[in-house]
Amino acid sequence: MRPGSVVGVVALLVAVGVAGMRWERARANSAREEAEAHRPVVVRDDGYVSSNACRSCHAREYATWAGSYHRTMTQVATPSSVLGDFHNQRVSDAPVYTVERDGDCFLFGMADDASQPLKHYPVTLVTGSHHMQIYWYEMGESRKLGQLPYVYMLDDKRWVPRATVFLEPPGPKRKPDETGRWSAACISCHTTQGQPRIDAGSHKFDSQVAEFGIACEACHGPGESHVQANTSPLARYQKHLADDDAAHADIVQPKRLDKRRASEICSQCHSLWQDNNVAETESSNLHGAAYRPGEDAADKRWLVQPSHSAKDPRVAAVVKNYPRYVEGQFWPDGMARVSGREFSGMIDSPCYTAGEMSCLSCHNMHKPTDDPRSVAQWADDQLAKGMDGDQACTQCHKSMNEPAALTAHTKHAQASDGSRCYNCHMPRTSYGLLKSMHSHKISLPSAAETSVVGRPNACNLCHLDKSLGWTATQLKRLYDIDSPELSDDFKSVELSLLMGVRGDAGQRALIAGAIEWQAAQRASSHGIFPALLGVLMDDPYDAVRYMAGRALESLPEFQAGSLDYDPVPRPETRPPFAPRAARLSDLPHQQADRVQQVIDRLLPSRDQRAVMLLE
Amino acid sequence: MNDHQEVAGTTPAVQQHLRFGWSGLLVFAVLGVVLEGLHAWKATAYLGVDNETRRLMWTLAHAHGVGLSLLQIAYAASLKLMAAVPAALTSRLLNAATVLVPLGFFLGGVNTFEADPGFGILLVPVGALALIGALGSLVRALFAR
Repeated sequence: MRPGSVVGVVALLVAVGVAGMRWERARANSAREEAEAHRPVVVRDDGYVSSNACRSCHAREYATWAGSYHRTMTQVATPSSVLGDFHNQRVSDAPVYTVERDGDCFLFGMADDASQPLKHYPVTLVTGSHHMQIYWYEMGESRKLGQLPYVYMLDDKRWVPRATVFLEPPGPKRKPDETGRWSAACISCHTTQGQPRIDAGSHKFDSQVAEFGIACEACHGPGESHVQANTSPLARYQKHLADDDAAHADIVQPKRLDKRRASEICSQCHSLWQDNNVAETESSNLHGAAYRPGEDAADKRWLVQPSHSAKDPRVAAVVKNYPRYVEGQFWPDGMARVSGREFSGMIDSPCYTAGEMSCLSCHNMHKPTDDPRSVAQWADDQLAKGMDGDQACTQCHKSMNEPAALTAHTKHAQASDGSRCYNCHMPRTSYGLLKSMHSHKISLPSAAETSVVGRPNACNLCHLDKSLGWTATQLKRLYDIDSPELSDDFKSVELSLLMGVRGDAGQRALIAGAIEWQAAQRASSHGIFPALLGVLMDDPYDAVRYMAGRALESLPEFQAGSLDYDPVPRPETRPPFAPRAARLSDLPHQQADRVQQVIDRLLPSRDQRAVMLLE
Repeated sequence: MNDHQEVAGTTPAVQQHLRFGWSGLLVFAVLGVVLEGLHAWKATAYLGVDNETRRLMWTLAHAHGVGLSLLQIAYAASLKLMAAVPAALTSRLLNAATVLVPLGFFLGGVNTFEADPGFGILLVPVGALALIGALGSLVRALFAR
């Protein structure tokens, strides 16, 4: 064959290949646009390039992030991302709601009653993958999404009404009334650089994101310039040789930032920010948040931190004008009471204000190579290696590494739950995801705060069979902390009973969560639990009932599943569970009668204010 | 005829490339067994997500080593069939490529910078140029009148 012929054949093959690729790309683009016409879409602009661009150079970081719940905050509904049971389930009878699967497509069916034909909608996005999954369906109106009124609980493997999984006042059975909420609210923290793009006039939604889920660029900032600067191997090897901070200036590394800047990255979603003015809110709607990781967050917006209301008139105005909004997220003294406000708690801690504590002191967004835990174990709380124990505190408070010093400080046996730093200084006073969670304000146990603010203290969250008066006495005896003036009930009635019966719905949920906590079960006699949990299992709030039922089943003296209790049906639709539960108690008659009398006396004075915890 | 009896028509160049090729195959067969062992024992230093670059480099070292060793044998076999003997430079360039390319990949995987191989990788482009030079020289000899 002549060389000219070889060149001709090669040129022909190249031309055919290029034409084929262009045709295939055009066909794929057309199909994708059609498939995505009625849901939010990924648009990479403004310097965002997506985690795929990071993967080729940062394989380990990509792999550990891919195993995290940050990645799965929002996913497109696919057979691999949908964890709920979509095998032709009828999850509600009136109205009729069904979930179905057709090949790789997931469908939500809806009708007012069984006599009406079902109208089907494609399920298109999925929120969460840790404890529960929430599903969003295409409404066929621009890119507006509706929310399935039922949520799939992953541990319990069942569908429950959305109203059950969020602590909100009981009301009539919901219809899907969360339409548009994904674009209006969820988008900001469940995606990377979400842009709602809601036209208030036409009610049209054109929502876009840089990436679904919390991806690399949510914490490291837009990566385009970093990718461009590192495409050349010569540039990369120059940096390998230099290995100093300046060499990495083209991308934000949270670990290289000071405590405030580093933690403000997390605060994007773990606290509450407000735009400075209407124009900036409109800009956020169109272009996404103006803040970029590494910048001073306070330049772009302001923090809704009720504990700072005395020094910030903007916060004071919110506290005054939107009391329900504030009460739904913060205790009366300004401490956060729901999950997702961890930054708000941390920055009021002395370890932050007077020390060097940042979110990264305890958490690590990428599992280190020498961490023996599996990615799944690490992903649960994304705690850094060793930070699930006292080391989180003793990395600075080194004297507490000495057993003698530790027990002298804690007044508890060295190996006991009472000697664990978290349990006393980060008690479970936050509510979220049907659980009580550690407060992120590092604090001291205080009987006075409990009596005035209503927040349960660390001592009584473990010693559930003790009164607040007992706690005050112990704090005086062991730490010389002055006892506050307490009412007779505070002095004599077990705080768990007092708060669990008379408290507001948020307090009741925390008490149920505390009873489920293994450490509290070890530290407390269980005698009052059945009667107390029985009351909570008849609670008007779905979330309280859910947590109370789980708490009762967690007690070792009861066999899981033996109680035949379903928290979902409204208490007014079934016989009360409290008498049945009370009979499970092993208390002597006299004491059982005392507990029942206390419950009967406290119940009429229950705090009935409507509580909606905005986790 | 015994094992060491000289075959009619062989030249020192043929002998040299046959030795190079078969020795190379031996070396890279051993390397292949070592890499299989690293797979068998799930060695983190080779299979860990942190060490993807090392795994790629050593896989490439093995593949290129085998390929270039076979090329050495093919070249030796070709020498007897060619009308004109290629320049001595062709042999030297081919030998250089057979050493430098797999060695560069191997050393590049010993020490890595995250997704970038270590500085040993610099031997690879030198070896690749040597290979292209050898092939160019060979093709030129084949088309020479």
